[in-house]
Amino acid sequence: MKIKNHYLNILILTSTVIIAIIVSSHLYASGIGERAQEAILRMRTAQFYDVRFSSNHLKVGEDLVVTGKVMILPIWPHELGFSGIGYINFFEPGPRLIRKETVVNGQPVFSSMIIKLGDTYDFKEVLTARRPGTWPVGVTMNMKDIGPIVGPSIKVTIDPSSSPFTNTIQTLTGQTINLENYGLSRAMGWSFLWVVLGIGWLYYWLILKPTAPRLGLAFLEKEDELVTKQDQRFGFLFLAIVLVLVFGGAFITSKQFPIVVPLQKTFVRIDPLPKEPTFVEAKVSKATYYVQQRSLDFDLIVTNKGNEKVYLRRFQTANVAFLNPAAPDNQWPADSPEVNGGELQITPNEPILPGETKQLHVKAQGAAWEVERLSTIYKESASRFGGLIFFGDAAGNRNIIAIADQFVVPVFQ
Amino acid sequence: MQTQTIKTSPELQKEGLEVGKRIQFVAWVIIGMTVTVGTFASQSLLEGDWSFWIDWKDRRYFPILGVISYMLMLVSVQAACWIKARLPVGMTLCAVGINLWQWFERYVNWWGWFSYPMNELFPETVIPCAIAADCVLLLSRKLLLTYLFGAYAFALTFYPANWVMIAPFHQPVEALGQTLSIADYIGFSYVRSAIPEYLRMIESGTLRTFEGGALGPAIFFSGVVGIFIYAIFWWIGDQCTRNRWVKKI
Amino acid sequence: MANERVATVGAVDVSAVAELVPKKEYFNNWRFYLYCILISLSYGACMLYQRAFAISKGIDYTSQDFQTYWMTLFWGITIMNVIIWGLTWGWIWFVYRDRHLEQLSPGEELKRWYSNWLLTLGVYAWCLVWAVFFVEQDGVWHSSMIRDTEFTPSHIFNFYLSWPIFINFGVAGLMLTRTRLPVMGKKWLLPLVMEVAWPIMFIPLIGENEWGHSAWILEEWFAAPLHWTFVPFAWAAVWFLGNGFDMFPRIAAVLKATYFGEKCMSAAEAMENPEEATNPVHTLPGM
Repeated sequence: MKIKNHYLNILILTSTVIIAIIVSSHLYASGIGERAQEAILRMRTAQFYDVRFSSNHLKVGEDLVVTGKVMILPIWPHELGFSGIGYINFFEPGPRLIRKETVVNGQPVFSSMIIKLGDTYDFKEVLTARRPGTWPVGVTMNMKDIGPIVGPSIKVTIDPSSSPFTNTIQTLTGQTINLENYGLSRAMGWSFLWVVLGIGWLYYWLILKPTAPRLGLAFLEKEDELVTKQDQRFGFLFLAIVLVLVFGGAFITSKQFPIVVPLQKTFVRIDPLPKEPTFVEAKVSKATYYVQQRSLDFDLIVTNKGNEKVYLRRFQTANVAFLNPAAPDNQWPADSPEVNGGELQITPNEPILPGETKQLHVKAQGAAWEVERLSTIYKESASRFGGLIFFGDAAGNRNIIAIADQFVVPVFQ
Repeated sequence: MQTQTIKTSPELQKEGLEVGKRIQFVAWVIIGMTVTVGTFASQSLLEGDWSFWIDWKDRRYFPILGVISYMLMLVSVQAACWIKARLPVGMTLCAVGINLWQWFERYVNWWGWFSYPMNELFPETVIPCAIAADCVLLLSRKLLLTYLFGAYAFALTFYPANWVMIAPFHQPVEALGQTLSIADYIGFSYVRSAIPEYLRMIESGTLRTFEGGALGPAIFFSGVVGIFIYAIFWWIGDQCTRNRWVKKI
Repeated sequence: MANERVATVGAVDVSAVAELVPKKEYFNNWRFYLYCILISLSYGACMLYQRAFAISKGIDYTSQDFQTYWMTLFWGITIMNVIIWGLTWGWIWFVYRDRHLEQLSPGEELKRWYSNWLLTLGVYAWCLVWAVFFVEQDGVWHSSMIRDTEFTPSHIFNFYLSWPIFINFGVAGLMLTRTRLPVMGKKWLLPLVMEVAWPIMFIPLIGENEWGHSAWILEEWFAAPLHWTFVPFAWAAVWFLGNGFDMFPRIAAVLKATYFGEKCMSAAEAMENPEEATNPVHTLPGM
């Protein structure tokens, strides 16, 4: 029996180690490159929230729907400049999924958008799985002259399908085409023709004629020996062939495709989301980052202007969210692609009553600050942070308050 | 100094010719490789996305950037081959090399690794332009005429020669609530995560365009730029091939 | 004169014709193709490694996977580069060097032109081809991925492997020409020096490039002005052409001396007067 126990212990120990490795590797799951960006900018530019990926396991040809919201914080980091042009993009390592449509605030969007500070954009992207494999995917908000602001990401596994992938579309001239290879053979054919012609030209000059003596003749300027009448006739023939093929080809093409449009380039203005009733006002008064505890603490002065009691439910920044366990129905959503930072410690942690104004001390503590490389706020060129604070009442009404530009002072000991 | 005289023979001479041919062949292969990658590095860093993506090949910048980015190296190599050996092949050598190379590396890298479809990023060709300019040089045998007519032979053939390949992608489709060309839609559909739409530097409307588009002036302008490139890069091709020896480096 | 073979062999007494005329098989270009294939195979292995682990393990510098799969490789490659440079250049400069260049016979010189100059620079060119291949991989990487650090997987094979390797062969070609061929014994051919020196500039320019990317350009615009600084150094290919055209007359001269019994400048004379030794008229029969 003792021996059995011994084996059992080993088994338990081994499983624990394996599980620990799996859990820790899960905990330290890779980002998609956003951690290279400075924390002070990731937290103070745009904040994604409510992002959901419809699935993380697809077959080729099946759709992935990504929905979510992104808020451009009302105060933009001055050091980045603000171009006012943005683009809701999708991150994937090459087109493993093709994009079918992007809808922002109910409007289908092809081009870049005119972006306003403080606005929230409710987006939906529909993609179709194209290449089998496991791929990191995510959403990004690209800002002109600034770069990508990276939203949450997941890994998607795409299984092969028995039917080959096609991406068909109907043109306004009535043709149905498969974009996977449309026009390719034509381009290859013409390129091949030109390569053959070019090689013919090179063969005549470089292979049929010995090069070395030409160096001497050119030095002695024996022009007539270097370029003979026959060479010139050959040159004339080639020039004629090229001109006929180029302009003849272009002429025939213009007859083949009489209806063409130039590339489309424009910016779109997106109608803002309808204003939600505001029932909470909040302002951060002082923020501290405890380096050794890995904890961001701040004091918050909150006023409840509504008729229901209100809870501080969540603090979120740069895709890391901290939830207040004392708020009703506030468990971590299983399908959330965001990083669970841990529990939010609030003192005092009672709901804010209607009409009440009080000061809360909020403590967001967790390893995520280190793992997501956000703890560097105290050693970057400006010690500031931003984020979103979610308030909600029992009925599910929600108010989101943006912290845009808050200084933070580190405590090292 | 002691010299020794040995008799040669017809067999030995034949062998010598054979060795000479082999050396000449491999030398041209090596030179071809080098000017190809030189042209490619220069061209892709100057033209880059206009060369890669079907939805960047517009009417305002593509005809000019295409001509400029290729001509720099092509003119230098043409000058070197002509000055040193009166071979009117410099441009064609580079053009053929780079075209084959572009097709190859785009298949291997862009399609093979990141699975962008080849019809999104097939390369433009400058082989007809290069042959035309080489022919102008051969037929005129004069620098001034080549500067003027060679540059224009290159520039005027560039867009028509490539229009044959890109025209099918300019048919209209209705997608995302607006009219798009097939090229635009391909660019949207096959996501480039780090190239958001606003980066696409292509023709957009102005209050003054010629006959509904900027194509004609763009092509004509590219010829002018070509003349200047000829003037500068012919000189560079000449200087880089001068037989210069230095005592110290 | 046409039927007689004149070879200048300095003070060495040469009695056998066989020693003066290299075997035809020596100029078998298959040797060059074999080198190219071997280089391609090793780079192909790098490429496969990249395809296997770049996307799965290499998109986040801060992850443990990245340190394991990529930074280990980076340090390995960097140390290997230093060792390869040291060994190749040290061996050529101190060991392989010919200390009696003036005694070289035309036949032997022809062999050296072929191996030490043409094929070494050919391998250099082939390494350039691969380097440019990896540049293009870097292009596709940055078109698709969020810009991480300067140690991103495409950079490791591009900046830190393929570039140092072509520099290795370029400098080797320059050194071999200097130490093994009479024309460069006392003077340097400018196009050859420049053809090797210019592309070396790619490495310091990584600093400029990454500094610029860290400051503002985060998205990929391949033709961005930031990248233009690389462009003039790509024109080194024209220097390459110059080197080829300038040296070719001397090859023709020793070839004619070896096989056609024509007179050519001796090695000692070529050392003193490389300008005349590489005069293009030597490519003409009888001159």
